[in-house]
Amino acid sequence: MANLLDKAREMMISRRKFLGLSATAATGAALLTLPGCGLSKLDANEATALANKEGTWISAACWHNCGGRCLNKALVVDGVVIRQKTDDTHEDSPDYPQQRGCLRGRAQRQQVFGADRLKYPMKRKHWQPGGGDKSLRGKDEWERISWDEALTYIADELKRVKKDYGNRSILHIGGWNSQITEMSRTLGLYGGYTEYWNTNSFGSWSMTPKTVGFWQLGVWDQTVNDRYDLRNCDTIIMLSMNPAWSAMGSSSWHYWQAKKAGAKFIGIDPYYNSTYSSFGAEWVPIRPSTDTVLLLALAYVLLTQDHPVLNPLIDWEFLNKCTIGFDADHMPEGEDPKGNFKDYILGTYDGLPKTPEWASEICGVDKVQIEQLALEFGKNKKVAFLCGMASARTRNADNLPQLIMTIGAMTGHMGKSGHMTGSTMHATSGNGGPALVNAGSNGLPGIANPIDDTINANQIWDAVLDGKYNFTGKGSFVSADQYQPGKMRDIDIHIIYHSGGAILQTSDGMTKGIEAHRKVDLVVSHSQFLTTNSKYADIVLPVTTEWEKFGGFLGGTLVHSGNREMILMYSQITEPLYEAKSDQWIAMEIAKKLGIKEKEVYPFGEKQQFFNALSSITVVNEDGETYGPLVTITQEDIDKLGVTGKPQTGKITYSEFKEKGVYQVKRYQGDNYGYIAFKDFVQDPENNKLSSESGKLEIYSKKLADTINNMGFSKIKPIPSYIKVVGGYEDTFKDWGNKVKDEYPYQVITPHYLRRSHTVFDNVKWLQEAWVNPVYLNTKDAADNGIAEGDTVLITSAYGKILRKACLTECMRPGVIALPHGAWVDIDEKTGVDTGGADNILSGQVPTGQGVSGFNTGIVKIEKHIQTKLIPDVEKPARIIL
Amino acid sequence: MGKLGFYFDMEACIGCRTCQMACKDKNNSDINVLFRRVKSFETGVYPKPDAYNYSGSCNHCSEAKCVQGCPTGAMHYAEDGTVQQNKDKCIGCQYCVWNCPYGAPQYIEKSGVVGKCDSCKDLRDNGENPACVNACIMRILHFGDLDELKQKYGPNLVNELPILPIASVTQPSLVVKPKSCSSDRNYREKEV
Amino acid sequence: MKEIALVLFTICIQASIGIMVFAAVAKLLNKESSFKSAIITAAGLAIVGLLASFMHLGRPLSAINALSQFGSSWLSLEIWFTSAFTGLTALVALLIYVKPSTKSAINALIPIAAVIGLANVFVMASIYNFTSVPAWQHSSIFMEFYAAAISMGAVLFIVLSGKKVGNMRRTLAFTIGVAVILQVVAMELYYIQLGANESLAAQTSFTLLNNMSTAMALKWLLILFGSGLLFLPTMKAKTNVLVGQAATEVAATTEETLSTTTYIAAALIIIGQIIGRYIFYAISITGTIGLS
Repeated sequence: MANLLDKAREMMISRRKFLGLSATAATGAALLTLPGCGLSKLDANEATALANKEGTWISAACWHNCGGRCLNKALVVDGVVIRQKTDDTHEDSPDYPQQRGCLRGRAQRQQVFGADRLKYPMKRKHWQPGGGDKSLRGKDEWERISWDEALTYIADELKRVKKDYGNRSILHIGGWNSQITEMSRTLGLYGGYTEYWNTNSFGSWSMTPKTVGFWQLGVWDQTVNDRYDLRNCDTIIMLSMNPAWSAMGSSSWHYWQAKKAGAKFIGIDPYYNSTYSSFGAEWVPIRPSTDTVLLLALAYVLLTQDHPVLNPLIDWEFLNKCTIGFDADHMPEGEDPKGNFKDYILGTYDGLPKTPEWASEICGVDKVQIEQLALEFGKNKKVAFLCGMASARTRNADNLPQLIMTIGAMTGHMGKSGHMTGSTMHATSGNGGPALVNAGSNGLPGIANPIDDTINANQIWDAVLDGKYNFTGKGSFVSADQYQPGKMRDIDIHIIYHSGGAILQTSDGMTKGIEAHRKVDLVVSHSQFLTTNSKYADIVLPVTTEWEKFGGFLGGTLVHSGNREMILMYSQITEPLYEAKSDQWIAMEIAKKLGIKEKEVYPFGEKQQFFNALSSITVVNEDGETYGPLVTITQEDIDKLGVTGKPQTGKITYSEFKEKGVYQVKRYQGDNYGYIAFKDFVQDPENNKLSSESGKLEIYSKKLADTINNMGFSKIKPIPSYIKVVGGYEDTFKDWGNKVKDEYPYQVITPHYLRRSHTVFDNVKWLQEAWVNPVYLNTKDAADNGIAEGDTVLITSAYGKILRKACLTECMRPGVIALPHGAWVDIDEKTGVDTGGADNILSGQVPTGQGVSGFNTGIVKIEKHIQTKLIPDVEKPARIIL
Repeated sequence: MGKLGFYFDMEACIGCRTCQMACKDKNNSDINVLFRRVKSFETGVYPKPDAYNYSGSCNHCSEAKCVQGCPTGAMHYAEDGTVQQNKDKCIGCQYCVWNCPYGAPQYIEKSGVVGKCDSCKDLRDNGENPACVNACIMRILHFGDLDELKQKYGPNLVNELPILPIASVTQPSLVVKPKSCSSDRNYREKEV
Repeated sequence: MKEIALVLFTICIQASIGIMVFAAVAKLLNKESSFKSAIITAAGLAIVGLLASFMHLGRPLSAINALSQFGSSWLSLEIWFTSAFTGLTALVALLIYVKPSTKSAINALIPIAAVIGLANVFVMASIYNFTSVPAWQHSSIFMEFYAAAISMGAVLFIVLSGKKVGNMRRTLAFTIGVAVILQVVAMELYYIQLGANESLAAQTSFTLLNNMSTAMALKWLLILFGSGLLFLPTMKAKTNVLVGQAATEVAATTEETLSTTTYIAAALIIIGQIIGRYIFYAISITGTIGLS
C-alpha cells in the first residue's frame, strides 16, 4: 500500500511539472467559489414577469471619461429598467457603422442602480467644524445628515476659511480641471479658489504639439487621416497604443478593415497587448520610457541607409519644404547651426552617434530589429505611424511628440492618402477629421475664477503639506497660459473641495494625497459612490447620475467626446434615487447660503440649458464644408418643453432625435467627408501655416525648449534628444556600467483597463467578474521571484505597497510589469498595504518638463506575498454605507 | 435548412467581453452565472507570443448530453432545433451541469434551477438577433442557419479546437473561424 | 463541501444495498434467521439516503418530475431504482417489525430488493460515467461503487447480525478483502488513465487528486486496516503479513474483545469509504472550456 501511495505521489510530482501553468491556473479557479452579490435590482423571475409587459426603449446616457461615445438604450417597464441595448437605428456596415457600445455601457444599469449608490448626505462621525480628529479620515464611521445640515456645514466652513485665510485657502478640484464642474460657478462668485491642473491622459501631447506645429483642427490628435483612408495603408506602425482596450466603440473595427484590406501591423510596446495580438502585429518589445531612444536610432538608420536611388527612405523634399531644424541648412535664424537634429543623430559634435547599438542598451530592442523597423518606414510605402498617449505619459518625454513628428516628416508620411503620422486615441482613434456634427452650447455665461493660483498635479499634495509650489500660470493643459515661467509661491490650503472627478485616485502620489487629505480642516466630495475622494472626505454629498437628469447630449466635439460622425441625445430614465441631487442644485443651494443670488449662478434652468444646446447643434451639409442646424424644432416642441426659443428647420425632428437617441452623418465611398491631415499644408506650406511660430513643423523649436526650461521642472533641448529619465530604466541599476540592479529592479506601466473607465465602473460587480484586475508579469520574471500563476504579489515602490494577483504572460517584456490603471484604493490600515491595487499608490510626485504626470514611468520590486491571500475584487463586499 | 447555431470569428475577436456583458444584462445573471463567457488564451514564448480569445455559450448541440441526461425533460429541443430549458420542469439536480462538456448549463443558487443560453429565443421569435450578436463591437458573433453561415464565412471553419472538447461527443451547432495559434495544443489560459 | 448531500446519499444507499445483498445470501443459508436489525438498519439507511438526495436538489418539492425520463436518462432510472429499492427494503423492515409471521413474503422480497439494489449500483455508476467529467469517465468507478456497497454492506451485516452470522463471517471477511483488493486495483488503473488524459479538466482533476493525497492515504489506511482487522480472529496467523506491525499491536490488545474489533473495523471501513466518496466529488471538473 505504502508503495502504491509513493507511486501516486511520484506521478503527481512529475505530472505537476509537466502541467506547468495551465493546471495551476485552472486549479485556482476550480477551488474558488464566489458568493453571489445582490447588486441587480431584480432577480431573473421578476425580470421575466416584467419582460412580458410592454416597455419603452429610452435613449440612455453613457457619459464617462472612456473617450468613447456610444448609443445606449434602456428598456423601461413600469419605471424599472429591465435591460439595455445599443444602436440598432440603421443597418450596420463598415462604411456606415452603428454606434455600438462596449461592455461598460452594457453594465450601466448595474452602476446607476447599484446597491452601493450613496443614499443620503453623510458626515464623518469625528469631523467637526475646523477638522475634528483629522487622522480618522478614510477609517471613520459615517453618519447620515440632512441636506440642510450638510450644506450649512459646508457654507459655514467656506465663510470661516475665507475670513481667516482668504479664498486661496480653498482648493477646489473638479476633475482634470477645476473649472469644469458646477461648483466652480458658486466658488468663482464667492471670490475664487485655488485650482488644480494636470496633463492627465495626454502627457507631453498637452503642450508640445501646438508649439512645434504638429497640430490640426485645433487639437493634437487629428494629425491622422479619416478611417476610410486607413484602409489605404500598407503598414500600420503602432507605438504604445491599444485601441482594443482604450478606444471602445468601433475604433478597433475600423483598424480591422485596414487589416482586411491587407495592411501589415507592427506594435512597439512593452506589452504585446490585445490590439497587437488581434491584428497579428509584429512585436518590437521595448522598455517603458525609452521610446525617444528607439526613435533616435531609427532616425540614425534612416539617415545612414538612405540612398536616393538604391534605398530611398527619406523624403528630402518634404523635409526641406515643410520643416525647420532638420539639418544645418534649415536652422531658424539666429540659432547655432550646430544644434540641428541631423548632426545630433550622427554625433557630429557630441561624438555620440545615436546608433542602434547605443539605443539597444537602453531601450532593449535588438539592434537588428531596430534596423529592420527603420526600413518599414521607407518613404515609398504607405505608412501610418500612430501612437496613443501612453508613451508620453512618462517623465522627461517632452520631445517625444516632436520626435514622432520628425520621423513622420523624414519619411514623408503626412499629407497624403495612405500616409499619416501622429497620436490617435479615444473614439477618434484611426478616424481623424473635423467633426461632422458640432455640439451646441447650453448658453450659460462662464464665471471666472478671480484667484490665479493653479497647482500642478505633481505638486498638489506636497503643496498642501509643505505650503509652497511652483506657479506656472493659470489656464488648463490645453492653454498656453498654463506654461509660463515658474515662480515659487506660498500656499495654505484649509479646504479641499472635490466637486467631481477622482483626483485623489488618479493623481500622482496617492499616499501623499491621503496624508494631505488628513491635514486640512474640511474635505467635501460630491459623488455617487464611496469613491476614493469620498472615502477620505468629511462631508459627502450624493449626486445624481445622468440617468436621473432631464436629458442632454454627448459627442459632437473631437476631444474626449465621441467620433466625428455623430451626436447622441439622451433622456431621463429614472427619478433621482434616494436623496441624490444634481450638482447644479447643490451649487445653487450652497450659493444661497453664501449670500449669492440664484440668478447670478444660473440665469436660467436646466431645461432652458438643454434647449439651448439642442437648438445650436450644427451638422455638415453634403458639400462637406458648410454647416447648418441639425434639429427641426416646432413651436409645439418649445411650448411642451416650457422654454423660450424660436422654431427652426434642420435634418431631424426633435421627436425623432429623442426617440432614436442619435444622429449620424451617413458616410459612403466617394462622399465629401474624407480627411487627409496636413494636406493643404504639404501642398502649399507658405499659405497654410501651422500652429508653430515658424508655421512649419519645427524639428528645432526654441520656443518649446524655452517654455519648458523656464517653467522650472526640468530641462530639454530644442531638438528631440536623449534625456536620462527620472525613475526610468537606468534608475533600476545601482551600477549602470556593470549592470548591477538596485532595490527596485522592475519597471511598471499602468495600462488602461476594460473593467473600468479610469476609475469609473470599478465598483460594478459584473465588470469585476469579467476583468479580475491582476498584475501582468513576464513568466520568467515571476519564476525569478518564486511567483506562480495566481499567487498574491506584493509590489513595492519608493512611495507605497500594493497587492495584486499574478497573471503570468509571455506577452510582457521581461523586466516590466503592467498594473491596470484606476483600481480603487483599499488600504489595510493595519499593514498600510493597498489591497485594491491602485496604480497611484506606487507613483510619486515628480514633476518634469511641462508638468507631465509620469504614470508610465515607475520602478518597483515584486515579491510573493504569503502572509494573506488576496480576496478577489468580485468577492469583496460592495461599499454600502447607511 | 441546417441547424441553427452560433458563428464566432476568432481572428477578429479583441476579447473585450462586451458579448458577455450583454448576455448578463439580457438574462439578469448573478455573479458566477455566465451564459456566455469570453476566455483568453496565450501560446508561444517571448518574444514571439500569440494570443486568442474564445467567446463561448451553449452550442445547441445535435447530440446534446444535457438533453439526454435530463431526468425531467426540462432540457429539450425546441421546434427550431435549439436546446431549450423548461424552468418549470427543472428540479435543480444539476446533472446537465456535469454532462455538458462545454460548461453551458449553470446552477443558479437563488432560484434553485439551472439556466443556460437559450440563444435569446424570445428575441429571435420577434425577428431580432441574440443580444450578444448585436452587442459585438467587432461584429464577429452571428447566429443563424449553420449551412448559410458556413457558406458565408467558410471555408476554413471548425467546430473543435484544442481548447474545446471533441465535437463528436455532442455535435455542437457551432462554427468558429479559428486563429492559427488556436491550433497550438500548448496553450495557457489567462485570467486577464 | 457542495456535494455533501450526494456523499450521504450514495454511501447510505450503497451500504443499504450491501446489507440487503448479504441478507439475501444469508437467508439462502439460514431461512429461519430474521436478521431484523440488519434489515431495519438497511431500511433506515435507504430512507436517509433517499432524503439526502432531495437535499441536493434545488427544488426538492418537484422531485417527482425526475421520474419522467427513465427511458433516456440514467438519473431518472436511478430514481426509479432507488425508490423501488428503498420501498421494498422499507416494506421488508416493516413486515419484520410489524408482522414477522409473513416469512415467505419477507424471504421473497429480500432477494428482489437485493437484485434491484445491485442493478441500482450499476445505474448509479453509469450516471457518473455518462457525464463530461473526465475524472468520472472510467470503468473503475463501477468497481469503486460495487466495492463500497459490498465492503460496507458486509461489515455492517457482521456487526448488526452478531452471532447469527456464524460460519458466514469468514466468507464475509474474504468478500470484503476481495472487494477492497479489486478497489485498489481499479484505483491504480484510474490514476494511470487520469494522469495520461491530456484534457485540461482531467489534468485539473488529477492535480486536485494529488493535492488530496493525505485524504486519499487516509481512505486507504482506514479501509485496509479496517478490513484487516476483520481477519484477526479468523486468520490471526496471517495478520502480520496483511496489515503490518501497527495492526499486530492493536490485535494484541483487542484479541479478547472480538465484537469491539468488529465495530472498529466497521467504523474504519465506512469512514474510509466516505472519505473516498468525498474525494470522488471533490475532484470533479467539467469540460475544458467550462463557462462556470
